[in-house]
Parts: sequence; C-alpha cells; structure tokens
Amino acid sequence: MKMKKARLIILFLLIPVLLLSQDNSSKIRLAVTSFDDSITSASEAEKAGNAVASMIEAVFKKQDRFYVRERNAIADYISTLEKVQAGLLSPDMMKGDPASLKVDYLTVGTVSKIDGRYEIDARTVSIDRMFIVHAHGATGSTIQEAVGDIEWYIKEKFTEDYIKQRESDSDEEKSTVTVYKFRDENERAAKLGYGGTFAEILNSQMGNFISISTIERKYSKALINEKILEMAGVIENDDSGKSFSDKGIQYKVEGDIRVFSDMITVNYRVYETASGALVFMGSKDIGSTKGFRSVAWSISNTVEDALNNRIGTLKISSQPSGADVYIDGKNEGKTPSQISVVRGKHNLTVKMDGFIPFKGEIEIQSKTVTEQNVVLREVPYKLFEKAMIYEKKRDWEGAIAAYDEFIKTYGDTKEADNAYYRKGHIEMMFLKKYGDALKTFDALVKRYPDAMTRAEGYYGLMRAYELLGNREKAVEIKNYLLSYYGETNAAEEARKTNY
Amino acid sequence: MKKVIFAVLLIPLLIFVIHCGKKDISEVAEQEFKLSENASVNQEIKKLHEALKTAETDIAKAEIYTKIASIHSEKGDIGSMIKSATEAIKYQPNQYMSHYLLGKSYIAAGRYNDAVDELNIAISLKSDFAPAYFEMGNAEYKRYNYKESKKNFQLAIKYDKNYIDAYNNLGVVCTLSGDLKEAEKNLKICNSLNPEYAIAYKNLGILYDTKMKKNAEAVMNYNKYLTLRPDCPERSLVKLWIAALGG
Repeated sequence: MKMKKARLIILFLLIPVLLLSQDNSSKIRLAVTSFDDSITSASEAEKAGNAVASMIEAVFKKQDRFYVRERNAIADYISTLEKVQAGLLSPDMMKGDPASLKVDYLTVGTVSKIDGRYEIDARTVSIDRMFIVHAHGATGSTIQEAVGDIEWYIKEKFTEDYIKQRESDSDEEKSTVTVYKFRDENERAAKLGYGGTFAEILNSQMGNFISISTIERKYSKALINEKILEMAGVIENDDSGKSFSDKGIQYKVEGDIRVFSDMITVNYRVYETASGALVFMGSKDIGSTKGFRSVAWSISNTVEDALNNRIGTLKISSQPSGADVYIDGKNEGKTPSQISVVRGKHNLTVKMDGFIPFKGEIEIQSKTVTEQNVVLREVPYKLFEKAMIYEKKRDWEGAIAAYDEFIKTYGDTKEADNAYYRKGHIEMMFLKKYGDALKTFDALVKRYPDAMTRAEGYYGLMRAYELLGNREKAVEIKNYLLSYYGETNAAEEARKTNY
Repeated sequence: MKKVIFAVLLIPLLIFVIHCGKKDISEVAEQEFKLSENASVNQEIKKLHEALKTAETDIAKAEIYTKIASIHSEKGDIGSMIKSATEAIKYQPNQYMSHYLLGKSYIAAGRYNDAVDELNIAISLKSDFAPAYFEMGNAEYKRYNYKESKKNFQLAIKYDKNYIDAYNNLGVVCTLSGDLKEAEKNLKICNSLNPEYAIAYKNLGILYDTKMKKNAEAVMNYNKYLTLRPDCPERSLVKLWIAALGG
C-alpha cells in the first residue's frame, strides 16, 4: 500500500516535469531536410543524402538545447521546398512560417564525392528569411568521418548564445550576400566538374560570418531561371543581379575553376546586384582538390573583409563625359561610372585629350557611395601659340622657355607631347645642343604618347645619337623605328639615312 | 578496477591524439598554396618576371609582359592580366596581342566600353586576327548589342573556319535574336567540329526545348550534355528539364 502511494506521489511530481519538458519555446527549434546528393554523379549513385540527413538529425537530437521536428511532420513543407528548387513553385514559398511549422530553423545541406572523398556541408538557415545562422562543412574519406567533424561543431559551437549573437545585430547594417555559381571554365575543369561542390563549400564558409548575412544558395538559386544559354569564354547575360537585388540580396559571389596538370585556380568575383558593378575580384591557386576548403576559407575571409571594412563606391561623372579615370595612377575606366574603391584616401586623376587633367584627393568610406563631379577645363593654347611665335621669330631660347613652361603647366596633357617634340627639334636642329635634344626625345618616348608622336620621338633620338657620333646606337634606334613604326612618316625619313 | 582506471585515463589521451591528427585549416591552406607556387604555370610566370630584370629593350620587355598576360589569361586571373597587358602596351604600343589581351581582361572586369576600344586597336593592327573578333563579339553581347555581336562572331569564323567557340556563341546570339534556324545550324556545326564539345548540346537542348518545341531533340541533346559533363554544376536541374519533357 505504502509502495503504491509512493508511486503515485512520484508520478504526481513527474507530470509537471514531463509537461515542462514538452515546452520547446526555449529550445532551438529546427528540422533537418534531406541532403542534396545530386551535386556529383558519384554521391548520387550512392544515394547518400538521406543517410547523411538522418545522421545529422541524430546529432541534433542528442543535444538537449535542440527541439528537432521530424521530417515527416513537415513533409508538406519539404515537398514545397523541393518543388521550389525544381523551379515549379515561386521561391517565396520556400520561406516557411515558423508558427505553423513549429520550427524556426531548417538544416539543409549537400553531399558530394570528388576524388574519392566526401564533401559534406550542413547549414542551418532561418526559415522565414533564409539566411544562414550556423554552417559547417567537412571533408572525409568516409561519410562517418565528415559527419563526425560536423557533429563536433554542432555540439561545441551551435549554442543558444551563438544564435542570439547571429540574430541580435541589426540587419540593416549588415551586407547581404549569396554565393551564386562557379563555372568549370577550362576543358580539364569541365571534365572533372568541381564547380558545384566548390560553390557549396564556399556557401558554408560564408555562412560562418556574424558580420554579414549570407543568404542560403538553395534559396537564391531558386530565384534564377537556370535555363539560360551558355556562352564560351564569357559569363552569360543572366538576370541574377536583378532577381537578387529585388529580394534584398545586395551582393553575389561567383567565379570559375580552372584545372591544370599540377594546380587548380579558383577565380572569384563579387558583384553589387543592383548596379551589376564588379566590386571585388581575386584569384587563388591550390595544389589539389584537398585545398578546396582552405581556399574557400581564405576567399570568404577576403570577401567578408572587403564587404565590411574595405570597399566603398565612387560615383564619378565629368563634363564633358567620356574622360579617363585614374585612381592612384591605375586606369579605372571612363566617366560616368561607379567604381569600387578600397577605403581610405586616394589620388584621383580625370583626363581627356584637349582638357587640363583634374587632380585631387578623394576619401572613400566603406559601404558608402562617394559622389564626385569633375568639370574639365580646355587646355589654353595661348602659351603654345606664344612658343610658336618665338619659333617664327627664330628666338629659339624664347621658344624653348615657352615650351618648358607649357610642359610644366600642362605636363599631363597629350598636347605636352607636341611641346616636347618641338623643343627637341629646336635643340637639335637650331641650337645644335644634341645632348639636350637626346634628353628631350628620350623623355618624349618614355611618356608613351600615341604611335605617331612616339615614332617622331624615336626619329629625333636616332638623329641625336647620329649627331653625337654614336652611330651604333643610332642604327639600333633606326631598326626599332622601321620594325615597329614602319608605316609612319618618321620611318620614311629614317629610311633616307645611309646607315 | 585497474582496468577501469586505465580505460578512464586512456579516453582523454585518445581524444587528444585524434585531435592532434586533424590538420588545422590554415595549415592545409599553407601546404596547398605552397604546392601551387611550385606548379609549372606559376614557375613559368616566375621565370618570366626574372627575365624582365635583364631585358634590355622595350620590345623584349613588351614581349615578356605579353607572355605573362597570356598565362594569366589562361588562369583567369583578371587583375594580373590587366596589369601585365597594360605594361606590355606601355613598352610596345603597336602590338596587337597585348591590346587583345587587355580587351579580353576588360570584358571579365565588366569594363565593356574599354574592352571595345582595346579590341578595335588590336583589330586595326591585325585585321585577320579571329580571337579579337571573337572577344569583340563577347563585349557587344555583354552590352546587349546582339547585332554587332553576331557580326563579330561571323568575322571570327571568317578568319578561322574551325573556331568552335565562335560558332557556339553565334548560335546563342542567334537564339536570343530569334534567328532560330541560324542558331540551330551554328550549334550543329560545333557538334560536327568536335562531338565532345558539351555546351553546344546544352544550348541545342534549350533551343529545342524553349524555342522550337522539339521535345525529343531537346531530351536527346540534354542527355548528351550530361553524358559529356556528368558532374556539371547544374546536373540535377538538367535532369529535371529532361523529366519535364517526358524523357
């Protein structure tokens, strides 16, 4: 009798405990979907996706902090998910309702097999916004080995605090990015087909960053009509930028893989989706596919750094438009344009033939657009005309002084090339200062002017060497002139010499 | 009891050994990057940079820079390609190859207008250089100027009758501009030039599937594509396309 009473008391005490244990509100509520094994033919042949999903599901179940909803319980949603990914339903259907599904997160992933190794990637995404809150990928010679590695990360790193940290920061300040696709570019790469696997690996790596929001590529891929024609040697004119931008994805990462006999090159590019502007690009070499996770780790760090700390945009225009833009001496295209520039101070030059170059300093802030409008002033020819008048008067010193002043004032203009040429001509022909002429013509060819003026410069150099008695050097320059500028007037003149 | 104590002591030791056996990702990265440094392609670039130090004339320097740019082009390293081709042009402004390489790199960098300028120079220096027309076709395609793009691919083919990539891209542009018969003809030429040229099968499949509504032909071409590229990134999608057509 006493025993019965004791049992009843224990049962009575246990009921609230059991009821409390059913309260999952404080737990991380998730469901694990079947892992996609169709990335490579080898993994598909083994039909490894379901097995891996079950193993990952078991890992979550072992941890008290997770409430794992059975896949069967959300079968309808999973089926919708598959249809979205097949392009049969709108991608918006992929974003689930946490209240009705009783889960906040979905664990998705892929299994592929390359060079005899398994590449398994597991990512947990917020079900209503599709951004990755936890990701880990692993390589293993067996599925168990790779899953074991993922298990360790789930146990140790995937905690309530971690989730809170991922979701606490204001999304408005974070850059939103997705990994689009990696093409197998050269013939060897096309045969081996690593692009799909690499994109998944990079997706997982990108999903590790707290400071950026990485949108799961299963969702972003569904936004794109993949039935697009494939061009050789150039990326297709697809509509991915607009589709991503419309859904609030600000950046996309894409690239290509090239396989060589003893090396693999991974090229990557980051585009701003709204403007289509290339904001960052890079290239990484690795010895073998064993380095895929390492290279993805390295690329993801660079991309994260670039998006968060390094890159700003310069929106530049000029009057007139079509001027060349140089940032720290490097040609970055023509106005008007939007250029991605590394954060900090830079020297800006805007140049156009017939106009005085604009030179200034700009300061670029990360994640902001700096606008700059440049009004170019036409080169005033008065000074040049003054030099010509001196020439007409045969006042050679006066002409040289005027040309020097022109060069000093407008040295960066194309017109200064002519000033150099005229000056060298006077020094050689009229002042007989062959050493000075040599220096002037040498300076002219080193300015890299257009072909015609450069040919004139070489002709001047040839004559100066000849007049200085250095016949050997004169012959060398003459041969160069005839070989590379053979159709110019300068070459025609050079042919008349008897050496 | 002793056995139990031994087992308890052994477990942490085993965990430690297993953990030590796992290589840190940065360590693997270092090894892999080192391996690639010694790869033949990168050794070749290194040698050429060494040769630059002793090159005496502008022509020699230009030739070396052009070779470096060509290797970067093969690797797809756009930043280095632009840098090397620009240097080559500084030393030798009248060399068609460096203008061509610079134009090609500008396309990859999204600077299509600059690409057209450079490719025009390359063509003015060597008017029968098929690859320059091919890249011009690509640049115009990226500017959505399909008429010009088509013209340039046709010119590339005129100067190189076996230019398979040009036939493929011409096929794509013809499809996009509604010239379906011409598209089919050009894509089929790719098949005859090289029966293993996979992307033409995919493009033919899409042409038959979405434009000409020839389902059987579409399925046949999609299947051929998957046979040639069993691990292409869009393999699961292509399978779905085949299934949707009843294949």
